[in-house]
Amino acid sequence: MVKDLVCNMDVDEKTAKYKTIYQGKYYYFCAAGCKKTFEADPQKYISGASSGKMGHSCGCGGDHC
Amino acid sequence: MTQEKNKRSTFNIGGMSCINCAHTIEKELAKLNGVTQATVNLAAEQALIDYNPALISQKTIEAAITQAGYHVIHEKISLQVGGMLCVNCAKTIEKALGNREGIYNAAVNFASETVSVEYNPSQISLPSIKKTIQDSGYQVIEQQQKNSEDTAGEERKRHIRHLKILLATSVALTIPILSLMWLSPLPMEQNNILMFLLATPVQFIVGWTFYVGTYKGLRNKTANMDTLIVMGTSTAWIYSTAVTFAPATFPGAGVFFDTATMIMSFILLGKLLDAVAKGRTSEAIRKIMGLRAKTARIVRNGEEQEIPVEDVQVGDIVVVRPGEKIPVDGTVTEGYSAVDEKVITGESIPVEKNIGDQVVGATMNKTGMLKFKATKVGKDTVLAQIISMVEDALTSKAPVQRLADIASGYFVPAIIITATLSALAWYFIAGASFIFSLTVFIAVLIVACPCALGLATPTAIMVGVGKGAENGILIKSGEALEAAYKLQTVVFDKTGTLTKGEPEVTDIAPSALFEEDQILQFAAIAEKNSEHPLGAAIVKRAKEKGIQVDEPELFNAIPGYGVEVEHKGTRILLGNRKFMEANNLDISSVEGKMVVFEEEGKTAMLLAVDNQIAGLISVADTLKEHSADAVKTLQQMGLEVIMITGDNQRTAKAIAAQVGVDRVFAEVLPSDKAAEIKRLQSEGKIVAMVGDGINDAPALAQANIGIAVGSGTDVAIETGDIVLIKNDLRDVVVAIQLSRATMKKIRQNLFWAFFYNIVLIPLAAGAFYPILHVLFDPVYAAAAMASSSVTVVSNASLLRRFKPKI
Repeated sequence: MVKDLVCNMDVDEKTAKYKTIYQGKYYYFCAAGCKKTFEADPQKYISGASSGKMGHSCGCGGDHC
Repeated sequence: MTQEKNKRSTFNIGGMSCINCAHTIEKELAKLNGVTQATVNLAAEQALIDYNPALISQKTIEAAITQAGYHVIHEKISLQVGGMLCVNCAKTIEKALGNREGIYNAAVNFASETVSVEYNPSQISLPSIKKTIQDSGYQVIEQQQKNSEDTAGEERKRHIRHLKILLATSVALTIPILSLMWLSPLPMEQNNILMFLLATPVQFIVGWTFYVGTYKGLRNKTANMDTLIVMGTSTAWIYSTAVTFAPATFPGAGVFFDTATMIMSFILLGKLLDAVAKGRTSEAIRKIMGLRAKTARIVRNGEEQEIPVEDVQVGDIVVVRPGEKIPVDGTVTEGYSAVDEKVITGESIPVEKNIGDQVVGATMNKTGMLKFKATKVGKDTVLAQIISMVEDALTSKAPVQRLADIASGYFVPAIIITATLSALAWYFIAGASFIFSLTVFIAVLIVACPCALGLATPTAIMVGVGKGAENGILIKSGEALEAAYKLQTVVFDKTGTLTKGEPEVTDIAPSALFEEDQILQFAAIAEKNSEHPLGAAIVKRAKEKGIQVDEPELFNAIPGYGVEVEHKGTRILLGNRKFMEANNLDISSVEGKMVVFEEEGKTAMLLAVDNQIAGLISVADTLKEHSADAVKTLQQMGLEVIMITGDNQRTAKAIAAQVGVDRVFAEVLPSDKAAEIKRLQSEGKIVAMVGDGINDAPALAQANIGIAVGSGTDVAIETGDIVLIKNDLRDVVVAIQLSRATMKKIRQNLFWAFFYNIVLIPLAAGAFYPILHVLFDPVYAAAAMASSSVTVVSNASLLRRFKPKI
């Protein structure tokens, strides 16, 4: 399991429908909204991952959230 | 500054005989307050006038034209009107029509229930005339109308017929005069009186038109061609008449009534040939104007009805059967057919039309029934725009003509002075006889020909522009013609001009385990939902090859990398090197090929299927079919060919190598294209720019010749000096060749016109008499003068035989 860096949900990388690559590394998302949000400013969420304080705040919609 | 917008109107003008007439009208119009520009084209018999309607009315303009001695030709239409109860109704309609601008005369016949309207079609349209009648409370009853549009052509025919009658009369009287002259069957006095009786009608009845012309000229304080003819022939007639009735005063002198009548005959013959040839030069133009369909069949209230094409409105559903002309522009809503668009594009292969396709008015529906929704009618149709552009072109002058214009302005006074001085010099200085001096005087007046000077340019432009329009090439200005002659460099925009402007699949390179079609299928599935144009190219190619393109279950577009999809449990990756690296796939097996494709300026994409490199697919914007041909021909014509593009150097070089251009300007921002053209011009080059007319508009404007390439019927008419309707670059070559050929004709014509006058005027003045001992008989002078303008016009019409070399 990996974390959706935008909404902090757990996502299974094997079944995840939404994914992208940043700096050669895959990232997985719960829904299309999170993917788009991430792609718009990946740096923000990568640094956010280390602090781990993002919370459930993406408002990304979709039934995963 | 004036508040109101300027208006531009075309007036058909009758009564012009030579270039001086055109000048006179231009001068008179220029004097008017409110007229900003007036250009008169003698050959087309039209005036194009820009004026401010707030300052001057069209009636005042026409009054000025009439004042100058000419007349504006009006359209006439007769309409059947219903609902009139009494004579008073007739008055109401007349009044309503009379108040509209552009209507000269409206006469209602109560008995026959018709109204005949005289109007200027450039100011008021037929539908608005009808609307005026309807608004005043009456109905216009639609009927098969008489074709009223070729009034100018009718006028020309009438003019030719009139000239024929005059010529026949003149010749019929001249023949007996010649026999009397040479055979002298009667004693001299009776013989002379008989000749006087025969010659006088020629002089004053047949020759009346020249006296009228002279009078008009004098009233405008100008002298024209007619002045010279009147002076020359009247001198001969007056002298001969004096000898006839007062022989004692002129002992032993002979008459020369034959001279006056033969001059008349020759000049009329010249005018006749001129009129016929002028008709021929405008043939192509008139053909275009006559292309319009007369009626349209539309569906209103569920019923098909046939109505005049002027009455079709935007949004009407028009029905066209096979073999019928499409009346207006529109979008197909029902049916399928092949349409011959030759009249607009010059392309003879019919174009297939399906629902949603655009159709253009005046094209011919060939095979099937079409229903379409009218989108453009009246003045907005492609054909109407082409016609108005051609009309504008006809009144434009090549800069080289200005010299001739200046010369012809001073021409007639100079000739009168020359004739007088030579006659006086012979009589008083050289001591020649009175009759000798008189002959010199008449010969000089008659031989001089300002007409040839005046006709040199407009006739050639008319043929050239007409020829171009027939082939889907619209030449808009005389300046462009002149520039084409000196052209050194042709700059092509790359994307969308040299190339198709949309990418397509160029290469597929499968690795050992896959087939080409499999690569295409996987790639197409991967790109099925992509909005990227490169993806669209792949999907399009797969569909063309009949490959089934399934919808993937999972789709991920990864910006900067590629697309990743899953379909029936298969994971497909399509993207760049970085994408494969991120998935830990080794691309060394295809790297070599990928580099080759990239060197060729293509975008190569890697395909991986279930974590295995499956192959490469490359996409590129490709050359249009005839781009390389066109470039090569231009180079053979001695022109430097340059390509300009916003693309990177590598892609640009690759395309440049394929198309064979001499120089490449790459990485040029669209906004800098005009600056690049300017830079070339500062190297002293005369530059043509070829572009799509929309993105390249500033560069087209900066170039000496802007050539806008249209696609099909979507013509960017506003930009460019030359507009190509077809999307075929070989037309660039044709346009340049045609412009050059036209310019060559103009130069030849001007040369002959000047040369003729420079050689023959001294000859007529007797300058060569001391050496050659021959004097130029005024009769020969008349023949020479008549033939010179006919030569110029015929030479111009030879241009009709123009064939492009490509």
